[in-house]
Amino acid sequence: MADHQNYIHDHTHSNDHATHPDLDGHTLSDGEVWEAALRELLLEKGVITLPELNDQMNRTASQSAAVGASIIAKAWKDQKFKKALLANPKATIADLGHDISTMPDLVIVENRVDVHNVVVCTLCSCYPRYMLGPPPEWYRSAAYRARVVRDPREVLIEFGLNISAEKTIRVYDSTADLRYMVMPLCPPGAEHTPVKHLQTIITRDSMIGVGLPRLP
Amino acid sequence: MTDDKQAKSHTHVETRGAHDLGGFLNHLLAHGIDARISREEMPKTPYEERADAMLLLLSNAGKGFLNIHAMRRASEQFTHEDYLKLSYYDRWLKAMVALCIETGVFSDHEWQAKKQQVLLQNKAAQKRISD
Repeated sequence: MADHQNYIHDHTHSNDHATHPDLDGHTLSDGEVWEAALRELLLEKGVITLPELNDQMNRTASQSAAVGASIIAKAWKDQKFKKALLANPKATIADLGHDISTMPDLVIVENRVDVHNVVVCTLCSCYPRYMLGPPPEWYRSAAYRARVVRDPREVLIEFGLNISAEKTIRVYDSTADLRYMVMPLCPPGAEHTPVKHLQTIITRDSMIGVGLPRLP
Repeated sequence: MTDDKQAKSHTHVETRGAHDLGGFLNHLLAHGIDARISREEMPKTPYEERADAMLLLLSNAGKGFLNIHAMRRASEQFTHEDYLKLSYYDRWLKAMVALCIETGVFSDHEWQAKKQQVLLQNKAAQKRISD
């Protein structure tokens, strides 16, 4: 992140240097042209400022699946917290000190021994960033969006997850206003593992539903 | 895989919006889109990080110039070809620009001129390097 902040900073003080340090020497793609042109227009018009852009990039860089993992780990350990979390996710998470008032609504779906849950956004790429960080490339891909609702079992096998035929697979389709995340099953033997350690095994993929928490 | 084969055999009719991808494998295949899910972790490039930051800054959690519903409406008006072939951030960039022009943040004329300026600057920079 520091690199990008330096880059934006440098750029303001080198107007004689017409293009961007990281873009010199190669022909810009359409997207790169659009981004540079849009950014310059928004800055010229005073719609956004460079410090704001830096702050936003910094905030985004500090979002990660570690937030979601810490909350799931706490729920595995604390039945009362888990009940509250499943009943009223946003309020329960806010009570922990996370400022999520402007974030879209959240539903946490709990995996059970007979039900495995998986999350997608078929219409777009809606994702609970404030719990899981930025969505992975594949989550946003046309292939995942089109296929996981049609044949989740097959798709999960591609992710290395073989869900037994006896288990029901439920696919949750997120919307702009309502995001889903999965509460994976606590792996056997992990009940007595400290929360701090549990957090490290609750991966982003396990909270999307395409993976399972791995014990070391 | 039965479902996939059935999907492939369906007559392809574009009666759905380009964005409406759920279960619509034949739509992807008809447009030559790879139906395999690449699990490669792809970090954002610098321009994608800036595009992402601009979107969040302009959105309702930031300055309120646009919201996710407006962004979706803008991108859902793209042609099927554009919607499927543009990369994720290029799609959002195109939608942001469309909304900025629509709401008068800047004019189409200003947009075209700025784009041209960026292209010329890029050409000049390449020339400097090759000289």
